[in-house]
Amino acid sequence: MSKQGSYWRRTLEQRISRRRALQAAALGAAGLTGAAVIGCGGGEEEAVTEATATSLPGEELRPTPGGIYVGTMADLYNMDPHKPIAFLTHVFASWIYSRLMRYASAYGELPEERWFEPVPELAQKVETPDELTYIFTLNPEAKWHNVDPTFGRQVTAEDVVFSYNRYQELSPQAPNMAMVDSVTAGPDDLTVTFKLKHPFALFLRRIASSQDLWILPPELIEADGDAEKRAVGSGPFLFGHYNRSVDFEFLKNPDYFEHDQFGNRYPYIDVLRLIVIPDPNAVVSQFIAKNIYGIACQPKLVPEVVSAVPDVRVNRQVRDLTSFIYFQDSSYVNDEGPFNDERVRRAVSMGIDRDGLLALVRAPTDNEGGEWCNIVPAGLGREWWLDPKSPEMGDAGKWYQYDVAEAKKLMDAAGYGDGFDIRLHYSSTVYTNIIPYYPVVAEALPGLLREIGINVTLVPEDYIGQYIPETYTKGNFDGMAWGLLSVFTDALAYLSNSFLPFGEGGGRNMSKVRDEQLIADLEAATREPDAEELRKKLFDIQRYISDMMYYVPGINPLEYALSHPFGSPTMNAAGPSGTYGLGTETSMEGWLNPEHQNP
Amino acid sequence: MASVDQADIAEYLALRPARKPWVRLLRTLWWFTRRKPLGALGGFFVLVVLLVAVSAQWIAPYWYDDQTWDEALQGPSATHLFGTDDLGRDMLSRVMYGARVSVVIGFSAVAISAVVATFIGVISGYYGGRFDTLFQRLVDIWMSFPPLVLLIVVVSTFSRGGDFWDRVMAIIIVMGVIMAAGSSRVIRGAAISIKNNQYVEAARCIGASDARILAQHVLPNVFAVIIILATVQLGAAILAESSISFLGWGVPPPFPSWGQMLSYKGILFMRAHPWIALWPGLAIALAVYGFNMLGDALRDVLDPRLRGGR
Amino acid sequence: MSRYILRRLILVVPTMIGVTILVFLLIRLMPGDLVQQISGENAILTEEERQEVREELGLDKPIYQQYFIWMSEILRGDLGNSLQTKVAVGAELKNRLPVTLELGILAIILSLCVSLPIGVLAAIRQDTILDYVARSGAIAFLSIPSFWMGTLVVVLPSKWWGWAPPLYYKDLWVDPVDNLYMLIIPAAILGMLLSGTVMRMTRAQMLEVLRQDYVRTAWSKGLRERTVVTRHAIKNAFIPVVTIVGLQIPILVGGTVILESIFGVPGVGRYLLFSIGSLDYPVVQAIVLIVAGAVVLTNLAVDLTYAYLDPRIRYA
Repeated sequence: MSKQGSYWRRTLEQRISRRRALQAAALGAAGLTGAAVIGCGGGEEEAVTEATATSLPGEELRPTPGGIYVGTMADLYNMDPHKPIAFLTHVFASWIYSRLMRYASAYGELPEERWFEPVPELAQKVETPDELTYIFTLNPEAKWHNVDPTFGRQVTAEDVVFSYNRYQELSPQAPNMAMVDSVTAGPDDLTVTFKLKHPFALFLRRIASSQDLWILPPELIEADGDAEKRAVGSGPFLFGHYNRSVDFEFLKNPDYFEHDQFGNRYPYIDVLRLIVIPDPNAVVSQFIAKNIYGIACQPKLVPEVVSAVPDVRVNRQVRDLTSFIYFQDSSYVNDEGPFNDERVRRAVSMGIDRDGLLALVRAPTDNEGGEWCNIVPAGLGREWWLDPKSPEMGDAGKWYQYDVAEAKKLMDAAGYGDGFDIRLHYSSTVYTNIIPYYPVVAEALPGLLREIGINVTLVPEDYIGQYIPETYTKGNFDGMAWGLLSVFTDALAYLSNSFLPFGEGGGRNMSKVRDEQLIADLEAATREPDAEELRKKLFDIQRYISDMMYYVPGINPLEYALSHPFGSPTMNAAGPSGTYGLGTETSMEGWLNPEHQNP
Repeated sequence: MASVDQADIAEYLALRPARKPWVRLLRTLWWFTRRKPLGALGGFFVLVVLLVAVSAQWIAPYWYDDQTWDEALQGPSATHLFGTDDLGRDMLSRVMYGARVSVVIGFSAVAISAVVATFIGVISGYYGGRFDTLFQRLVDIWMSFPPLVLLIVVVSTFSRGGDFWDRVMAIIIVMGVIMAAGSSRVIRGAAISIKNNQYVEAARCIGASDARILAQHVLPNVFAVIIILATVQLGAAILAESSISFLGWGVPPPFPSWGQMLSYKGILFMRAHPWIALWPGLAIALAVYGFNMLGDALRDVLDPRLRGGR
Repeated sequence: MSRYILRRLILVVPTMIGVTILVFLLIRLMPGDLVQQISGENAILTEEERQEVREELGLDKPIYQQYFIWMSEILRGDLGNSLQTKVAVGAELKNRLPVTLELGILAIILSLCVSLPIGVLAAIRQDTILDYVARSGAIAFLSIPSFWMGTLVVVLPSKWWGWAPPLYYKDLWVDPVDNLYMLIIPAAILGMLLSGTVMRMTRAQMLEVLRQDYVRTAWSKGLRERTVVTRHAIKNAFIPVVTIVGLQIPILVGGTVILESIFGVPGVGRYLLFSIGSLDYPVVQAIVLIVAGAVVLTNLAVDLTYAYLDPRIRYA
């Protein structure tokens, strides 16, 4: 194993260090993990190299327009991005529709401090005369798709107002824009003014979020009633077709308003064909056979694929997906044991061998598995994510350390020296295919917790039937639950949703934690106008919640995207891991080499 | 073109002097093996499965949830004859414990099926008339549904609670009831033909009550049918349970069931670590094979009138 | 005879009604909060909003009323709308049913091609090596889990030769070669499942027939084996066999459900699984109803054919 192991490790390191980075399995990722996975290696131990700008040694970037890109995608539940039932709708939306702003992307590598940096999309310019006012000036070249019912007319401020109102009315994500007081168009067609109720430091980041304010044409809604039957937007691709369970096809929008530095219009690719392949083995087989160009790959299968496809590009990234344990709500609502006592909660956290779990789920050829998240995941970057292993976490960091003896002492001190029996709920469907480490950790937890005296019975639940409607959304369960937190694009959203009162902004506070001081701190943070101050406040909050362990965070493993070297060195290497804006943040800037343009 | 029937057996048994019962049993077995080697082979597989199921906790080298993460995903080796899974658990032990799950669920389901089917089939066949029409309509309706779909829908309903026993009971009852439909038809057929038998007519003439006739004539003869059906259905039950577990609604982890071991994880690792899927799959195949072969042979031996394949 | 046919036809009605009731109840049993499901996993609804959605779905009416509403829609041909896509279920099924049908028919054809000749041979050469091999082979086919087989077929050729099955489905009329290429493998696996039963049935029927007096007469007339078999025995043996195949349809459906997912075939089976998973109960309802209905009708056809061919049955 040693010789073999080191060969693979060298190869992988070579790839990353030579900055042959990383082809987006954006499109494959879209299908299976719903995340853009591109960009920095993420691991600080990995062989890091000089940050290259946009070229590879000895190669030049020469975009060659044209071609058909073949990737994978999963079946959608619905197409209307203002009414999403699942995150995949947002991925779909990112090819067709635009936002006012989007997140930064680049070839080569995007430095961590630029992750989730809002950059212009529909809005060319933003002015902020005061803390409460944001004036967006739309790009005059932005046009709707040249099809019925919009016929290529210009995108106006009225369209933005219309979309905002519809979003507020229909979208379950609307609380993310709760700080907006009003949206008005004028004085001309290209100016939109957002007035806020209070200062909000991360407002532009929220505007750029790929889960929220998609801009839709009013004609479409008037004609069809919703955006379910047709998809007409202002994005880089036109909607070709969607044959359920068969494939998607997107066509290049010839009038798209963004250009590259050579003056070529984006996107380069003529046709984007995404095939629906439900079986993960089939996906790998198709990839190896070069029928699809990029995939998200389960870590355990990576060595197989790497050996079958020697020139494959491998990208690994931690995502902004928090995995965590949550407790029955009677702990906080009725002050019922055993989890009302923070010593027990801390014991649970100390009983989890996070590094061991990361080693268990990682790709066999890797020597690191990922990061430890707190409620804020590592995928947001160190600017906003407080690494539990870092000295900045302070004393609270010790609750993350794996220490069975300490944990038992805590259990003893809390009066549970004899341990107790408890049930652990988790979802046994849906997640199993797309988040491979989720069920593995679920099955590993009983063994770990047994060591500190907690006797766990696993309770698998059907995702749609039980887990989502009851356990996750309402906190309607007994004992503990192992889950994945909804994805947001900024740390404040994670924390607000988890700790504000349930039903009053705490959409993900299913355990109904109610800590008045914490709530006050969060509200102060929400109103903080200065980004740097906000950062400090959020770090304070992360320290506090780590100390209290209201929710016990799990792990943030690396996720892999593999692709064939058929074109641009990076099908856009956006930094941020979890944005669903693959369409505009990734595939828009990718191209295929001439010899690979026809499948 | 010789086939075996009861006359042969009676003759054979009559020719040998009566010995101690266990010797007779052995001789019958030997004779059976010689006459129906395939059936005997099947019987052997069945025996192995049953033995493993019963004695799993004594003969399995590891506990089924013995996780040693360092040894995860290793191929067959001296310490782990069948390799390990992704949590470092010994595959051989898990397959052995899995036999227990398959056997318990299979036998229970078949038992329920036998009881229900006998009840419906005998009453339907013996009494005929309106009972018959009503029951047969119900059975018709019941048999129109694709069994797997029924299983999924009903089991996913009942396993909402997620308790181990809730789920297991749900699977057993649902499978039992579903299988009972088809069996009841066969038993009904047998009951009808027995009803028209001369013995039964004679008994009725001398005034024997229905209950007596049922107990003395119908049930014993139907018994052979039940046994044959049972062996075949055991195979089907094991297969059905593995399908349900494969889809995620079966026995909850960490208890190993063959289907569950084969499900997303086994299939997922099929490329890189094929043994995870290989052993449970083989176990299922061999067990089902064994039961079917045995059932086939028993059918030939016990009642040649019954066609194969039903 | 015609009385029998008439009686048999009339019996279909209560059977179908029973089927619809059972389907209806079964679907209502399905777990999960439909209201939550419709609104999306991220939505937190107030009680009034829930009530609104419930009224929209018609869930607030008493159950027998819901049943009658549903029945009247069915009889008008309206199978309802998918809860997820809002598209009419009927339209969606129109695209998918032919695919599954084609898969099923291919499976049956393949299975018959293999199991009929082997069954006959096994019967003629009873108790020889050929017989043993054929019988154990048949049972082996029955015993191998189809999803295991399916995955092996997807994984192993890829591992050994880098081969992958066709990427996506093309209609038979558009591209017959690609279409067949894609369907042939799952059809073969399904056929394998069926052929176990069919082969044994064939063998048993042949044995039965070969014991008959008229066959014995044929032998005693000195006819060659081949003539006896083909001219006299096969015809009579095959009839029940072919009808047995018809009765395998529920099993066929079960097999397609999993295989379609593995091989990416856009048929009814996969749609059913997806809909069960997403609690899209109008779809599940419609599909189960159609399948069950098809089985009832097939049974009817089988019974009538039997009655036509075998006078003894009519008076049973």
